[in-house]
Amino acid sequence: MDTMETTITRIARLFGPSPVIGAGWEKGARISVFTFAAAVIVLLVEGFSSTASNAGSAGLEDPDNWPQYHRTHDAWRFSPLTQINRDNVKRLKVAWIHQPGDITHGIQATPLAIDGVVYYISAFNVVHALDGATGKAIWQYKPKLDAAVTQLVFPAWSRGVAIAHGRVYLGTLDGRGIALDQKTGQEIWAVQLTRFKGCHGCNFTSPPVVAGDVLTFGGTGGDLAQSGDIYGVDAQTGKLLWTFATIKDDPASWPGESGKHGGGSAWMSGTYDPATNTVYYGTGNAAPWGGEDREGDNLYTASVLALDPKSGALKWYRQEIPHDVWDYDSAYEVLQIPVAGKDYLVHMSKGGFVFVMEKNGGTLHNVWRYSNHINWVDSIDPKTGELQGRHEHKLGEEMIQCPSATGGRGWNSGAYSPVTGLWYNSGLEACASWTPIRLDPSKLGLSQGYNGIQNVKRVPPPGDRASARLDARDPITGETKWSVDYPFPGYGGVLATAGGLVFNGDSEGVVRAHDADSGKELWSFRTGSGIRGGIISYGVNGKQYVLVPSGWGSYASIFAQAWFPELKKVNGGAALIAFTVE
Amino acid sequence: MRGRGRPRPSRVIVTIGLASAMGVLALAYAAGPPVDLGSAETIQRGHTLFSQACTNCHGDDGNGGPVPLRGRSDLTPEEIFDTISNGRTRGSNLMPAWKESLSEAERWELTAFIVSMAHLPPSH
Repeated sequence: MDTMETTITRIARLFGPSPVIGAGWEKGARISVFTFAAAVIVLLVEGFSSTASNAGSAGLEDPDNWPQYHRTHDAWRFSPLTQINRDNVKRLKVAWIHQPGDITHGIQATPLAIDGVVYYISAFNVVHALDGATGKAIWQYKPKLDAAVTQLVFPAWSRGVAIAHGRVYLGTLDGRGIALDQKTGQEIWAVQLTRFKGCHGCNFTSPPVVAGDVLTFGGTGGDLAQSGDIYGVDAQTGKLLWTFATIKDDPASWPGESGKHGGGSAWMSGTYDPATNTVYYGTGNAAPWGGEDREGDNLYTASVLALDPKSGALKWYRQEIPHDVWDYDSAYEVLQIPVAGKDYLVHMSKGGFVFVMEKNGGTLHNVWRYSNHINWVDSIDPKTGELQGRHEHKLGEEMIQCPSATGGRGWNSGAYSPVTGLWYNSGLEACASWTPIRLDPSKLGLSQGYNGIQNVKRVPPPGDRASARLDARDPITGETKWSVDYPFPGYGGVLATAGGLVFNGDSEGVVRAHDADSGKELWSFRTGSGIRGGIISYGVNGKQYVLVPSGWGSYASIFAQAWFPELKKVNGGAALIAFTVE
Repeated sequence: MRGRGRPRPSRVIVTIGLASAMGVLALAYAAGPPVDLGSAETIQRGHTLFSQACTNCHGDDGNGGPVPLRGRSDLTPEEIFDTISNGRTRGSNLMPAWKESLSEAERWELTAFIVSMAHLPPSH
């Protein structure tokens, strides 16, 4: 009896009030079967998971909703729902489709789902609210953007919106922060944050982070002749509270004027950890790609930052790639995983290594190799993080680099399952050669990046073929549990579920469900266009849905054709496709 | 009755405006490019510009990207110049408009380089 009571209490603590539950568990209302099953499964597997302290983590809360970019602040991209599971996934069918009406650059967004309503952003910052059960449009918001957005290096896409305080927040292509009424889509406030044309078109392509009453926005610009900024904004009024410069004002780090155009933007969405009141961001590469004119460590490029959201003060940082000369951003998601009473941050660099840090302070715990083909460095010391045996690009000299600047994995996030204790990622083994050249940043137009490269060739790894995979690894040690070859690279966000499934889409447009334990393919569906957005799952009216954004576009779609020529046949598109089991 | 009345003033203004714009465009093209598209020096300057501004998507020899620029004998110089100037603003992939980032002469130099590749076989 005690055990049952304890279990029920823990279920209530884990899941709390739910729209599926109705008035909420604590008030005695009914709990949906699949939500209850999810709770039981998660509790039962505690003893089997290598990360046994996951129960009670934020990654299990609020199972019916996907309320932020990675669903929960620990960036797991894990749905605790189990109605769709190994046993019935073969019966997964399309429930509804929504088309935004503009296929420009496809869809790169991760939709959100709150209380039965799906929110997402499509080309040129058009925001949609849909009935999560039917796909019927509730409202649409279309901002009036600066006409210059068509001249930009980062011109049409956005990775998502953020929702809190009854508002939908977005960062725009012309560098503004905007708040909408969550019920109506009406604009509440709009503020200009970046200098936009004054910073070569630096703008926002990722959603802001909600940190209580503060929003934080990270801008584009690792490849632009500008210096990156993160903005702290009052969520109620839009008032700018602080700005954090990702380019440190330090001549030892940035000689001469180099820091003024040093890039380093935090162009992916960060995460907010309420337990420590910390916003984590990864920062982008240093600009230009060649490093002769910026000798130094080039702080805080290619780093993980821990910021105080109230003041913007830097709590700590860990630079993963000092003096980056390979375009190896550290902008990807900061995964939080508790293991045996310790909280770790797990963070993948574009350069094909994963850094494991202690959450408080960023002390290094491990560095493990994700990519098979790495030639830019001999190794990275797992205890100190020192890059050992650097092989650097030199001005005017061609050099093949593995992984390519597209990364050993793209920016689209992996998913972590507390049930299996595994981290699922889309790997890409591909290389590129390029030659650094000197550009005058003062003479660059709005349309021109500050890469400073020429003679670009995208090539397979020496002695091998370009290849793609979905793999499952221990996030702390990097040990591979399984790996499944993909015919084309996965450039979308992965989803893991308590139903024992991993959903992943590829660039040809095929979405697959894999057994989370073995990788075995259990279901697939051809969506008609390549998948670049984040797959999510949510519950409404007692039914679980898996929502797949389909729509090919952006630079990755161009670059990938060099390694996978068949991708030339993939059509553009833009659609949200919801699946469920009847 | 619809469409049989006198044109509304706004339509007249729009029509005159469009006609004027097209006339200016036509005159510009009729005047021809301000550079010799066949000049080796012009082509080399275009190649240098291409290497700095276009190579990441189109490849250094114009062979990268979704639409390889080698072997594009179907494009007129004016079409190439127009695309460079105004970009591609819709479709699954965009190209930035370069009219405010590069001078007219520079855009024609880029055009010259692309035209110089028109009779090369695309390698894939």
